[in-house]
Amino acid sequence: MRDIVELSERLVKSSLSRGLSEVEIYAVRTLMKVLTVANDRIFEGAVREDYNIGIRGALGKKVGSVSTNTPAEVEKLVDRLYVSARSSPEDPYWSGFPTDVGGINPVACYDERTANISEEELVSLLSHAAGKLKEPALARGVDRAIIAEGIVASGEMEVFVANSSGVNRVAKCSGVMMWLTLSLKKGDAYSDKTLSYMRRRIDLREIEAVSFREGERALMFFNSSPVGSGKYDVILTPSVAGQILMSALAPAFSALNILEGRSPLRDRIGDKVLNEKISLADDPSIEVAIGSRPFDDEGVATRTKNVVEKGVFKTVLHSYYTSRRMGSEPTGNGLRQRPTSQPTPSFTNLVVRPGKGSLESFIEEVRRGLVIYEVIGSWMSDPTTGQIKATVTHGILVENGKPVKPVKGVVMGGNIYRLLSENLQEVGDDVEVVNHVVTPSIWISNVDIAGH
Amino acid sequence: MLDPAFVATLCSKLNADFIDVRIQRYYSELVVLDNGVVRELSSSYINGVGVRVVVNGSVGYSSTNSLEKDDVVEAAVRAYKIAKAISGKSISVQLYERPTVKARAVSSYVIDPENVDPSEKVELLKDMHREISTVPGVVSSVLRFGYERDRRYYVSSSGDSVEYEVRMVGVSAALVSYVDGVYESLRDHESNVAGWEFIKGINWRDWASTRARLVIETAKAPRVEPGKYDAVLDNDMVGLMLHEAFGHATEGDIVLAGGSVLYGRLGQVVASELVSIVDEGVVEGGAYVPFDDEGTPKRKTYTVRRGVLEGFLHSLATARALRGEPTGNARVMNYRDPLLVRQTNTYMEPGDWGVEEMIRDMRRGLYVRGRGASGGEVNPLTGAFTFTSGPSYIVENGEPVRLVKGVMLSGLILETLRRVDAVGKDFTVRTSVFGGCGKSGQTVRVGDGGPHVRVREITIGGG
Repeated sequence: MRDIVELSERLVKSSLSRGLSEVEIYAVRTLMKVLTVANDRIFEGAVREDYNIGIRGALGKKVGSVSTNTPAEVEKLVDRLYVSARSSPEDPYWSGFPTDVGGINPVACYDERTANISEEELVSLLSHAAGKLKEPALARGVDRAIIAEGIVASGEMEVFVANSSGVNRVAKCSGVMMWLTLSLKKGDAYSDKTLSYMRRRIDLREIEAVSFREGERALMFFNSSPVGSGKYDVILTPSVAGQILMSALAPAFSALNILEGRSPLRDRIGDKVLNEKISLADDPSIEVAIGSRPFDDEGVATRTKNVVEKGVFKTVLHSYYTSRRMGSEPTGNGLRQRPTSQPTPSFTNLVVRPGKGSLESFIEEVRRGLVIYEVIGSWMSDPTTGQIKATVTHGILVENGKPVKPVKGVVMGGNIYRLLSENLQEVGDDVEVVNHVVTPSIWISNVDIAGH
Repeated sequence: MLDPAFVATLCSKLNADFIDVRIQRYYSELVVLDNGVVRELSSSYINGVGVRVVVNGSVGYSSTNSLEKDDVVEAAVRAYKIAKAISGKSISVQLYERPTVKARAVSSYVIDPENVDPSEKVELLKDMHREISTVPGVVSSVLRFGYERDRRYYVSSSGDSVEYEVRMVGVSAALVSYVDGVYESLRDHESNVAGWEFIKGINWRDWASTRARLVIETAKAPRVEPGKYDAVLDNDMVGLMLHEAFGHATEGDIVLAGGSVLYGRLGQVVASELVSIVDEGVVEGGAYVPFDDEGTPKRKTYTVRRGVLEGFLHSLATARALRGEPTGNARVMNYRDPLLVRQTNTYMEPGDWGVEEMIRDMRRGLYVRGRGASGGEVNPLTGAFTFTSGPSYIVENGEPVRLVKGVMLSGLILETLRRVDAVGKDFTVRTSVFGGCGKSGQTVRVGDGGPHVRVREITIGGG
């Protein structure tokens, strides 16, 4: 990264002398060690170094961008950048790149051990997690317990943002990721459960605990099958709640989606949009959560803010561009999909404030309901309408506090705003960090389930 | 330039069993017009070299963004080190020994999109936006032009030297309507392995206007009632269903890992006898994969023939381990990624039913359309799959009578294809420059399709 930091000053000068009125450089370098697992053995090891440098340039209100993965090639792209900007029609709302105000959020997102893990330590981490995942099944004497497939990765990511308005920032964060699928066989019956874990730092005790819990859960899903279509009480475990909230709800708080007519929350600020038991925050300062960061992808300091308080929509998430368009302050949520793309407002970490109860207490209380442990396809939910789409692969039908049967292959539908308003029963206090989301279990009544 | 002799020398110096090198020079363009304003006009370059080293059966990968020989050697040493570190705990990988391949292929095109001024690409989208703006009720339109040129060069210590280059181009639209207090969205695209002549051959104003009217009609349409339906799936939906509901479970790495419900079922009936499923690298309208990223020619592979599971998709490693033959399905997203077994173009072979005949004969059910579908996902271990459709039609008395929205299909791999009772004689395959298939964090271009197909008793969720 040092080469691009040194290069950036030269790059800004050459872009301005080429005729561009403003320029911004965004570079990201990741260095990860990765192990893949297949059929209970390590399949491959890899050292992955990715480099990506994006430059955006403006010619008045005309904006273009280029990117490369090769620092040595960057200066050759200034001409191409100029052509891009010149060919672009004016963006009437363009108001430049951010200036250097606001400092940075002093969040500790870097852990030396996680960033610089050795190949041998990574192998040992994998063995620990795999051992704990299999332990409950082996103790019960299943015929076979293997890690069918998976990935374990650990390393660091360095981000650099600079622009011709004076922003110049570097940050380094670490990350660990585990995704391991345990497969069990007992007689003619099969079951499986996936451990999914993503954090800024390795916490061996937590990894062991989560692995053991998922291993215990794997024992519940032998001989699962669909239930009949109908309305069900549904209890979402934190991991499922997190996935659904991110795909069906979170994008609606983006100022760009609100401005461009793609959010049902347009003109709803100050309105009650969800049940009063729901309070949501954007929190970039949770040290272990993978979305935590000192500044956003434009160099604007991140900060914690309440987005929904007791069901009332309080804060719109902004990039610098949308904040200028709406005449408000940037919120430090300008995140990029690619180095060339304009930052769009997104959550750093989406936090659901805890309520009362837990997965266990909800199961005890519900008369008849479906507890959902894993889904697929939730990313196909539509945040423009709030429609949820998810197919349950791991569910348990419970009646009067007792498990009745394991369930798979049923579709959960409905509108997130209705489900989290009149249909919401409880928000638990059993908060878990699930990738970019921090959420407890959520109990919703009267949910459409399509089965046999 | 790196050649097989250099790689073979490197292999013997490191005392490795095998080394292969993937060199990539990738260029892409993207123009995004958001409600008439250019949100992105970009050019992106990715160049680099990925190295795989096999040492005593252990596999290590590393990569460099430099094409210099010294940097490639350094990457090979890093890959060697991690392969040594996992030896003893890793699977012993043996590669199928196929004859050496030396070949070159270039996808056809007439007008190189790189020679077309960016302002012409912006103008194309602005024209479409003007057309969409005339349709009342459309509140948002995001239009994209995408182009990519992907040059791949594969060299191995066994003497392979394979090079291919593919150009893809396309346009997409994501529209949102707001009618009587109801929001609705629709996504669609057209892509092809071709040059700018593909863009010139389509009337994009008509194309945009048709989609704009459809998103308005969809907003007014009711949501489908959840439950079991008989359904006729169109070409796009059949492609999506085969890819999700079946294709993933035939991928050799998933089978080898014990993660597929199809494991141990070769030679067994897994579908109706009307069903034959093919994976093929070069198909009209589909993705262009003449070779895989191990240099193996991608040959036409039947995974299912007349309902019987005939084979899996393979890399050199899975072919050897599962006693199959390499099928040319080892692919990477970029030079830096490890090889995975991936589909190329997945399709069902046509049968002999006419589309209208099939719908008429069904009497009641759903005519499920793929335009506007957002994709699908499968859990190959449990066999559960799911995918969404575009706006679709309720069929009554053998006629499509009413538009419905929110159709989400779901089922179990080993059940759904058995319920196919009619296969059409029409046939199309489609691909996309804007997306593809995702697996273990890697997205690769794929194509899918087939004829219209009728499936009895499929689960529909009213999402």
